[in-house]
Amino acid sequence: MAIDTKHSENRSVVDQVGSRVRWLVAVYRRLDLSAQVSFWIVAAISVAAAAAPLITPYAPGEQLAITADPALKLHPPTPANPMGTDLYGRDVFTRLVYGARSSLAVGLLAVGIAATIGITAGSIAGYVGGWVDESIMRVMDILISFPALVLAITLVGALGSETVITILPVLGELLASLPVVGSWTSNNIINVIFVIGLVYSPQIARVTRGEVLRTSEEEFVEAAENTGLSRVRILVQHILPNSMAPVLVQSTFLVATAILFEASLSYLGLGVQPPIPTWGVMISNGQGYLPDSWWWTTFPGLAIMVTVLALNLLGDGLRDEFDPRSATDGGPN
Amino acid sequence: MSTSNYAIKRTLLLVPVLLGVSLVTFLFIRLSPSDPVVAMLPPEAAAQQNIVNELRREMRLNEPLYIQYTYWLWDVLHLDFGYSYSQSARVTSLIKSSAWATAQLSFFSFIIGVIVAVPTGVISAVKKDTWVDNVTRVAAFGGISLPGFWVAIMMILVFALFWQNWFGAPLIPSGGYATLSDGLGTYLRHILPPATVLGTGFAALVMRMTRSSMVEVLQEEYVRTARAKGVKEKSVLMIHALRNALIPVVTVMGMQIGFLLNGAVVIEQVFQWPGIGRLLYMSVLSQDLVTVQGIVLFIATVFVVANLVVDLLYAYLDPRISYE
Repeated sequence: MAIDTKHSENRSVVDQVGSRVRWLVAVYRRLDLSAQVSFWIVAAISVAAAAAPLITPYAPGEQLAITADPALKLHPPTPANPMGTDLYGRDVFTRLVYGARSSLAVGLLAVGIAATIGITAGSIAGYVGGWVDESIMRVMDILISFPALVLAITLVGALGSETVITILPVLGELLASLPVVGSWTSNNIINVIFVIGLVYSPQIARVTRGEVLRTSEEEFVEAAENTGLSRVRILVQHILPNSMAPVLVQSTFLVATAILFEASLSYLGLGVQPPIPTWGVMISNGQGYLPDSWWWTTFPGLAIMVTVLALNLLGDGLRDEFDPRSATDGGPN
Repeated sequence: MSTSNYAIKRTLLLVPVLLGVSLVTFLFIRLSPSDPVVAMLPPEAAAQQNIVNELRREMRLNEPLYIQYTYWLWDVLHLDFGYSYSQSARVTSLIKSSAWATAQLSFFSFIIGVIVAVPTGVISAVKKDTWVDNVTRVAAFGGISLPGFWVAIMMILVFALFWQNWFGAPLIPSGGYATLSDGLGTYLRHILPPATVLGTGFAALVMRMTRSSMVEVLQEEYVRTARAKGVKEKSVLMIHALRNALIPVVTVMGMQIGFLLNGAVVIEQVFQWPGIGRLLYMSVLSQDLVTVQGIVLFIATVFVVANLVVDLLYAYLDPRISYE
């Protein structure tokens, strides 16, 4: 009997996963061509980032001018080094692939933080209403009164060489438990993730609040209230799952923006610090060796553009699918 | 609520928002883990405890936070943002001179953005769902996806450095500031490259908004009426449709002032343009927190006021809108 129950539980899990996959495939099929292509580009970049050691024979910090051939300093592209080498004889392509790790990690984690703060604040504001709503949203209004990058630069600058982990040890432990990111906890990249997350939380809060307000009016919420469920449960189990589509769409755009932000901050020397390879730092280092070593700055910029463009087009496609009401402009700012 | 009541209400609401902004600016900087006094003194002076203590007393850093905030706010209300130790100048005068540089830059980016965005937005709307529309859509997304600082570097690479190699003289300078007194040609050659980079991202957003607004307006009855009356297509588009379609675009332009200010921080650095963004960056680098505080408060105030002006302009341009 016990085995049977377990068996049927397994079946239902398989069914659930199966129906999720079928649903995702159906969503994919309804996307327009540019969003479908973008999906594959994003997937390819993610796989490349995850499987970096399998894609390139070199390590990101490996100085080929020392380990292989002294002539490989600032060497133009060749079949062995398709994007050339930098001043220290490191393979630009290798650093680009490893740089995708930092870009994607910053993008995803920053939006994760923004979503955690934003969804919590927005749903409480929308569902509780009254003075709670007023005070939460006024704080968000104030945060949104700063141009985002200006606020980010100021915060990252104010933190200086301290990382937020010294201020928020819980966050540090959480991040340290993640793969790849776990080894970065002493690097400024943690500040970048946290600051971008904080700066963008009001945008998610606003969208969430609006959706929660809308969903709360629905009949199924009234029905749930009549069955005597607790308010917290109604919010978490009934309202939030039905309010998430526009938030997910918004998040896709925010990942794109976060990647651009990380690149800008790192370019300015305020973001990710060596030895973690990142596209922004590559551009800033290569800038001094123009015009002769153009490859050092050109390829990382193209990488940023392709990644961010694919994310934006994917977000646009998802918006047409899930949130056609707000399909007006091109993403957040 | 009438438009004028709305205007008064919105303007009054500015006060708590600006107070909040000043408080946040103050706290972010004061709660920074680095000691502002140690950062502003040369190392040999920072090592002497009595000098440090003296300066701390002078800057009222030993007082409770709310007292510090009150003093600071009082000074700020008198347009005194303090003294910048890294630049050896009053912060107010630093802001004044650099804000002018940024204002010129923003003005040109704005013009470039509008010149590019409005016509392409209209064409995209008229040719909705054709290949023209798709190309402009992807181009617009390209515009917001480009890292501005990289475009700026590429621009310098091609038009200054490569151009010099190819033709013996660069087409644009690789950075720096010029005023009108340097001659119109020199002025434009200095200001147009950074303004173009900033204008590209701006144009992309305005173009998307023009397009969707225009698509909506073209479905309106009055456009159909105008066409039925035999009005030429060109005047239908330019007079009947575009004038109405541009109203929501104005709002988006207002919101994009933040985009221009964001961009200014990075682009001014690439082109060595002595604007407010570069001043902020330099002050952050030298840990000159007093100056950072002043600049951030100034930028946020400009941003908030600009958004208010645009909202009021919107209410004025479109009297149909009512505010409860």
